[in-house]
Amino acid sequence: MTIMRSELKDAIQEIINIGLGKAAAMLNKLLKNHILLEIPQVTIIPFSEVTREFGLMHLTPVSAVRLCFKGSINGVSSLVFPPDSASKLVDLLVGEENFSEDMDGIKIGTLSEVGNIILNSVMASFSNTLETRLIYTIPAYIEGDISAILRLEVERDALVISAKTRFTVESQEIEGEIFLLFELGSFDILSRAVDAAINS
Amino acid sequence: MGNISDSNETGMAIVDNLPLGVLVLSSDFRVVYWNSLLEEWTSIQRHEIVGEPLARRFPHLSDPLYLERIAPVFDGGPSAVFSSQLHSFFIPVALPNGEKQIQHTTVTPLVCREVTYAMVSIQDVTDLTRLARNSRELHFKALQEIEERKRIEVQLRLSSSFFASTSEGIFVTDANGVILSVNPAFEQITGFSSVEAVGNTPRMLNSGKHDKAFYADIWRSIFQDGLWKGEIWDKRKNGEIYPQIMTISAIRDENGFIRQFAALLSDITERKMMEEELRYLSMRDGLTSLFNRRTFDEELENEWRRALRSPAPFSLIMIDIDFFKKFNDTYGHQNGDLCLRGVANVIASSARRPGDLTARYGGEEFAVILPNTPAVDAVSIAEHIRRDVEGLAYPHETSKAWGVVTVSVGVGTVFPERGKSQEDVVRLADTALYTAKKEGKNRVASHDESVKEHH
Repeated sequence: MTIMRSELKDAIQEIINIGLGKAAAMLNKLLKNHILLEIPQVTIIPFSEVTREFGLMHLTPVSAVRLCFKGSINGVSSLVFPPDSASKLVDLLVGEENFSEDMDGIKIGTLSEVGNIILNSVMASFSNTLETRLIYTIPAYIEGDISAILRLEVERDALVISAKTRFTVESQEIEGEIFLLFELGSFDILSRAVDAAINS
Repeated sequence: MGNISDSNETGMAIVDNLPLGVLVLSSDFRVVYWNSLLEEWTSIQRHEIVGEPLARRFPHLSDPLYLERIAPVFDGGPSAVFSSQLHSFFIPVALPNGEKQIQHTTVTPLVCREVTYAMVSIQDVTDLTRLARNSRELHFKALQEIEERKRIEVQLRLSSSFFASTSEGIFVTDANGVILSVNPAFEQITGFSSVEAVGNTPRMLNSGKHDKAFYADIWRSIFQDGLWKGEIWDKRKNGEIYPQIMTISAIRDENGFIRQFAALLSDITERKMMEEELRYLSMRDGLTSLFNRRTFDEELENEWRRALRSPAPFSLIMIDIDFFKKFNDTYGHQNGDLCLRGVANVIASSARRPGDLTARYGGEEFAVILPNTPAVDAVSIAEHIRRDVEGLAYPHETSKAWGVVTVSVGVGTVFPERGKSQEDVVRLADTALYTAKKEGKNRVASHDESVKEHH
């Protein structure tokens, strides 16, 4: 199982990386700024330990776009920003004065679309590789505690796969994390993922 | 493809009645459905566009930014969102005011008989955006107002510390001239306390020294120029009248109406006294305190001109100390100075009417201007002077005749009229003085030319 796990991690890392690459290209165009992506960190942990993965981030309120998916795999993908980065990103995209703190319509609309671009790209890559059809919710914008964003209907001790990638918009000091969390589905799907990764 | 609209009449009726622009695309980006709100917005009828590639009518949608995000939807990917902030005009719709409708667009997969279509729903958020923008502007304005208030507060704090600590008196009145506040310097200068001044009007300071026209002028320049600055005499609480420099300015509100007046006052009593002192010094002879020669010349001219307007005999007395050079040689210059002072005192006390002027004319020569004085009176004054100097009994050994200091006095009198000048009276008095000297000194001689022509 240990070997399986490490192979699985590699596969997932690669799947996410492909999706992120496309998303970054699109954001590049939109922001006219270079975007740096870190290599995704993939861990397989009990659901109850997920919040710890976020380190300090779970202590402060965050701005996030959240996209849930269901089907052969259930999970949630999310784009998470510290509030000041969220505001800077909106300023950069919309060119508005800093209107920060409040849940402004502009902020919500803009971040929803940015989240949509990134998360759709990641999810497309994910579902294509797994050759499975997923059903998605409409992306939602959330502000608040990180645990609200990571909410998933699984047992506390169920194993989940957590993948997160840090990205920064160069020269603007904007940073965020892309987060993908899903339950370990059937062995069948997992082996398909590994196969896909090995054969690619 | 065409049967998507027939497949579910009720469903289509619902979509037609939604407050959303809705269109459905097949995976080749052709329009398979176009709802009635879109017909209304674009004036493109359903039958005109169904079956056509969407990009034929709306070329901007062939940009990869749109295509690459919509394409995954046909593979069952998640919905794509085109926000009103980043992609405001999915299907451009012109509004009556010339602006474009602002849209929030969602592209979702729509599976129908195992074929995946993309349903594009467009929400008109023009009003919402405008509302948001307005509220943001209001928010911004409120912030600006708060900033402005803070700025004013800082200014007020600054000016109130200036108000409290400056040596210039300040009072502020309302538009009716009722005093609203005064500063400590005002209290000190005027003697009126804040309690006494507030509620009163500046008329409490009226010295009575200026006429109505003076105050009318002040008000005129305040209303015309917003400011008056000048010297004014006011009255302190103790009744003392004092001069001050005053600046009065009108404080107008943003509509230009005068709301308050502010006055700055500085007591210039001391300055005035200094000025007066300097003026006095500049006119006087340092040794004897009589008027000096320059002032004598000016005043003689002034008095002469005055005399020409109301003619009356005009006299001038010239006095010279007898054997003064010898006195100096015998008793020294210090005693010489004392002697000059003593004689000057006698002369000064001899002429006491306004207009009379006593001056040191030269080294040991003195003069008295006596306007409106006939020769007989002038000679009498001259005689008093001669006698009083002799009465001083300053010893003078080398003055062989008398043994004391004496003076010779010449009196000239003329009748001022055209063709004569003040020089004539000087010449006459000079000549008379010469006569007095020649006839033995310590005596008065007189030349009266006022009688010959006028009696």
